[in-house]
Amino acid sequence: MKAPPARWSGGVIALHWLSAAWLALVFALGLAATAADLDAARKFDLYQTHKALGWLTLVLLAARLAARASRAAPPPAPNWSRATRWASGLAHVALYVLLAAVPLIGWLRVSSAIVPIPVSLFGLATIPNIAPVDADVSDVAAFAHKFGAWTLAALAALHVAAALKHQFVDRDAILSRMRPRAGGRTP
Amino acid sequence: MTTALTRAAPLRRGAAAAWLFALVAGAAAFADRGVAATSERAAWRIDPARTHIGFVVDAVGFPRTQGEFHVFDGRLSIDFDRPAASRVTFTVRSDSIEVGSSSFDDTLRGSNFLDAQRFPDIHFESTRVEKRDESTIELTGDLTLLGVTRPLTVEVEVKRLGGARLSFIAHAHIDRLAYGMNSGFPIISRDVDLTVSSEALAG
Repeated sequence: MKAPPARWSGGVIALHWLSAAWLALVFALGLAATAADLDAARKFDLYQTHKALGWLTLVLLAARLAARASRAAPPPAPNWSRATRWASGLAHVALYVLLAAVPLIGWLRVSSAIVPIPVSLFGLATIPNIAPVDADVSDVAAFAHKFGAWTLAALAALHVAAALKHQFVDRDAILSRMRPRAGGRTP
Repeated sequence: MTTALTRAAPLRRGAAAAWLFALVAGAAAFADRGVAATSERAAWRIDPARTHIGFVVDAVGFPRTQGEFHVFDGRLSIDFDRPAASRVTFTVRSDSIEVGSSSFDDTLRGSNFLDAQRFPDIHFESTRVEKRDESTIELTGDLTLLGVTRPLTVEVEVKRLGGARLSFIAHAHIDRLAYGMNSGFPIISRDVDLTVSSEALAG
């Protein structure tokens, strides 16, 4: 039997870091669109860009799940306690759930808004709305989207903090599994 | 705005107010001539470079939206002896709306708002002109928007700039719900404030 790989596959690693940067941008755009003191035209554009890039995170997530499923995963860290494994597993499930739920709820918010402006992928494609206009649904979805996004941001911060703790305090090799390889060696 | 001028240059522009003042000023200047109305109708010309049709719409949780229409055409036929016999028609191309963002413009041109494909023109036609004071006119007419015609009152301030040039500033409040433009209400206000500033030349 083939030994499990020591690292995540190249596809998983590339998509992980691309997603991290992409989500940070989408989150920043969402914050700017809702909070920044801008004129109507700039604000409108920020919303549309946030919606397009945010919808595309669903595509990124699908690609990540496919990449993850297509290759064997590295085994759990041998020196981790049961509690650590359990906490890590739970955090990762929560991350994936939010990575799907936050953009889906955003899509619902856009679709049910009293002026339902569909997501446009920079004029190349228009994504259909997924719900009829309903101000109450849209308001609840808007709240859930915002709450979910902040929860996702908090979980992502926890995820980073845990990775740094394992790297610099515990000095285990967990981060190296997700580190891009320099020098062109394929993992 | 260079782009606006370039776009509008080949078209004849009009201002909602321009003819109005022409009416009043003309009436004052020629009131005593007593010539038959039909022979005294005169045309005034809008200066497109000095004409702006602007609007403002408020919303809750979104900044006030301000924009302009860049393509329009106004025809003024003025009877100086009998202002009531004068006529003003004014047409704005609904797809010439600009608010400073092309995707926002497209949304406003779309079926939720101006539905510019089905209703390419916004049309105003005067029915009554009334002088309020030395510098103000109240103009009443019919506004057709989204295929719905409703009366509209426009308040016009007029100023003589010397020579055969007049300056006009016209204000009107449009209740968009009256024309069936319901999208976004009540988050987006039903009131649209319209301001037309223009200069007109005799002849």
